[in-house]
Amino acid sequence: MLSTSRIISRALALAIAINVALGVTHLVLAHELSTHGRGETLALRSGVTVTGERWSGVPSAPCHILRMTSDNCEFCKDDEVAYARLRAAAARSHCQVVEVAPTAGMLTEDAREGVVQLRYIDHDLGTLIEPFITPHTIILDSEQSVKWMRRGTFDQSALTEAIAEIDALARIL
Amino acid sequence: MANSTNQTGAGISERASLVPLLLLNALACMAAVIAVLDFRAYSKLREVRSHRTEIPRSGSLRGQEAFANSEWPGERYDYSRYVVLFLLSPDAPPLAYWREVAIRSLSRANNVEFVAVCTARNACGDGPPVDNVLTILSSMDPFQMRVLSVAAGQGRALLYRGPMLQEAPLIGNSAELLAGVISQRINRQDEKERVINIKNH
Repeated sequence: MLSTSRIISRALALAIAINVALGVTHLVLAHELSTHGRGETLALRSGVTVTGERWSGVPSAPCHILRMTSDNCEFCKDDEVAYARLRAAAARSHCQVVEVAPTAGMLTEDAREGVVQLRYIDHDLGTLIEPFITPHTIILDSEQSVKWMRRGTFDQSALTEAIAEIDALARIL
Repeated sequence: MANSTNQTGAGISERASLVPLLLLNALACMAAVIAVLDFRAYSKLREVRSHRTEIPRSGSLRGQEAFANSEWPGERYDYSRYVVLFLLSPDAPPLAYWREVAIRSLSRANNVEFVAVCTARNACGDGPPVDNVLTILSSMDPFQMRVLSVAAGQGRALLYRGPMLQEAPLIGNSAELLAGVISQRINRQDEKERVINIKNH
């Protein structure tokens, strides 16, 4: 017959083990969620711009940045400074930035060097963009393979990671 | 004096035996919280990895015509109009099938437009259909393309009334059957509205 104190000791040990296991599980799930989509391909080949012109992509670009955004997205406005730095990194690396809104009419024309704003796309972009969160930023390599993805606004470390990814992709080609 | 010491000693001993229990309690609560967070994270991961999704109940229904430099539906958007939207691709039934569905449906139901979205040039034909039975688009906005892709993956077309989805009928091999499903749905909805209008007046 075990004494009360021994039972409690064993229960404590079990509780600690369970907490450690759950904590490790949480870290694994968080990592999976943050890296979901890497290596998948996006069909960002062609479409129609907000000014009504056909766009057929820039196949020679070392990378593409797809930015899901919208005129009435407050988080996108808050994220503008970080996004501007990302665009600057893309411009230095000759990468193409493509902005789209979830539905037509939610993106006003804003002409900037190296940025294409699409109203319509020719192919489904796939489950990676679901749910339609804005802002949502995806970095693709020259083969349209997903290299990095961020749902929501940038924090400093995410921005640093994204810029490093762009620089690395530009160096490959 | 000895009694008081014993009582104090007993008090300290009771408090000491409570500490492991309190700790156990705290660990149990912590485990419960982490388990809930893990469940939510797992559910979210399953959701983002899953390719089977529900078809949304409304659509944006805007696109670009394949053979004209104009948007669809353009300025002539009519919220009372029905639209059958479907994907044309090498894997899907050909244009001729859809022409037959459209012709049969139009003979039984009013105010419906059949709109095809091409994902491959060779599925679109060489030019706009001469009989204007079908409208052909080359592109739509990301939301609608996603909805269309989900429906096509399930072997379905989309029947809208204005922006609202009425039905997502299975396509199948028989144009006659599909045309029957579409026209019946439209006529049923029209009849319902006619009855409501009569009651309101």
